[in-house]
Amino acid sequence: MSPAAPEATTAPRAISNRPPLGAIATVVGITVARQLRGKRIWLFVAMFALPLAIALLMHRYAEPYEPEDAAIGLLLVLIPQAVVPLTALLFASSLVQDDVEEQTLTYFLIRPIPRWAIYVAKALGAALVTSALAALFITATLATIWWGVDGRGAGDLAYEAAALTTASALAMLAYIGIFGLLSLLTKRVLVVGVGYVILFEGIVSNIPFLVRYATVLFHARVLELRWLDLDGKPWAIDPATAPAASTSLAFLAGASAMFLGLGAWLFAAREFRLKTPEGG
Amino acid sequence: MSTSDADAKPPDDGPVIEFLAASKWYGQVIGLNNLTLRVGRGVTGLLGPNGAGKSTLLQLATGQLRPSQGEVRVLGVRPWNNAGLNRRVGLCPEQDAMFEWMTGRKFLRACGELAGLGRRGARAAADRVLEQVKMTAAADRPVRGYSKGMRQRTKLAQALIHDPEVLFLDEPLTGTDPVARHELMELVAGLARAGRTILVSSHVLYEVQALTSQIVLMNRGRLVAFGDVRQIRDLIDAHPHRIVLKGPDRRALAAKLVRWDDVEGIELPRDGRTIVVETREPERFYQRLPKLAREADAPIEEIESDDDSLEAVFKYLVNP
Repeated sequence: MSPAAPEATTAPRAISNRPPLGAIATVVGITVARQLRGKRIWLFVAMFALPLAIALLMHRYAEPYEPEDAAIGLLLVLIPQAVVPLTALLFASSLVQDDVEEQTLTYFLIRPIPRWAIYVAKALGAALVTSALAALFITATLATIWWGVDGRGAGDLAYEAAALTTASALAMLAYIGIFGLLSLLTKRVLVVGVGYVILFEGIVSNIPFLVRYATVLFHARVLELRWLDLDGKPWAIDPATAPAASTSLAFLAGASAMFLGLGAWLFAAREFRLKTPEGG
Repeated sequence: MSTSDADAKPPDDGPVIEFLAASKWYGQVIGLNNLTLRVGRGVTGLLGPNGAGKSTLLQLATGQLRPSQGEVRVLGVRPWNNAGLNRRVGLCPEQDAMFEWMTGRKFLRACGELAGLGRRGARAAADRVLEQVKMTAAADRPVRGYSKGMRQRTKLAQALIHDPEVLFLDEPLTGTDPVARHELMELVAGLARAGRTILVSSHVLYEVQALTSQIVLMNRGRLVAFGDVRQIRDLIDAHPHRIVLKGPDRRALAAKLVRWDDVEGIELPRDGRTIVVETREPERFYQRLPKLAREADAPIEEIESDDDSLEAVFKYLVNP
């Protein structure tokens, strides 16, 4: 068998690669629908229901009941330090993997949507679901803690809920960027991700040293501290020397953009083998 | 028929799909081996046993994979990372996967929106392709409840949703009943008559033969032959052809089949639903099957063809 000389018979033609916005919105919609239907959503609910259940128990049985302590322990420690990063890991780890395993990624890849846009749209879909549900549970936990306590008006609670859910949504987006990138780099994303959450976000962010400035949790806490005018002593954050809210906001937005960008670049460069050797 | 890559002649009006010394490796495994092939307008059958490299070829042509060596062009441009080309190309994938929570209509609308048709355009396109594949009546049922034949029709419909110029169909007839098979073949033939370029893969020669006389024969990632189907068929007819039928009442089916003079042997495997028929006249056998299926006392749910006889021909062509 002698192959013919490899010579193209027609000159390459330019075809528009402009991403259709409606198509990208559909990727977001399909991602949201998939996330809401999977088993993962029940794990998410269980993890966020834990602080809510603790709040209910404390409110009912703690003697004397100290709502300030409950708010710090649940809303400012348990949720941002463990629940938010772990739920983000749960959803980000399956961003692409679900479509590879279920062999539905083809339906995105054969459409006129640039690969980078498919990845970003899927990440935004996951961020949308996790942030909206987190906002729901954070607000419910806050309301449970302060329900029936004198001196807290509905306006104060609404403001606190808005501040906490915004900080958690920004942290969630950054974590989805980080863990989405990790899921493209390693098949053991859950192990690596949990290690990252414990070591980096759990330990490093609490040590008053320069490296903590590179953690998502530190900047999410600074935002809560600034917006809610809190004392930073429990986390060894001195409000006098801590970054301004705008700096932490810029850090979280920048980190999200950087990790989403890196993930999108890797997704665009990688092959996903669905019906070929090494495929799902 | 030729058995040389060099003889893969382009049709008169120029190639639509080109593989230029293209190879694809998966680590140590070779998916496509130095393939040079030029495919023109009309229907071309891509034939080969499982693992021949058909899916690799189609995934390279639709930009899902990047060639390890050589070049691939569709409509004159490289498909890898070229999203714009997907406006003009459609793929019916082999894998039996869809967004299972959707109804058929919603799935097709979503595919239309993904194809950039917009919400209104996708709605109209979904209705059009549902009619084309005769799935309108079942369109509002969830796809997870569809039979294999209905899923194949729906997958074909999503490939047609944006009215592409070039269609890649990966084993579109696998697992379909005789009636669905006939209707899908009619549809593909109609699309070809309307000027589409269609590359349809199968491991069953007689499916492809009903659609086109232009065949690309592949084995182990290499082009074995490219040319007219009749000469390939003559080789295959020299070997007994094994056809697997599935139906609820296989004994009644076997009782009818045993009277056919073109049936040389019948096996009844232990699974209780399958019949393996051996024939040296598969074309005649396939032609008579739809009539048999319509007879209410012996329905046929699925037809499959064993690779064995095709494999024998490949061995013959590779090592004559």
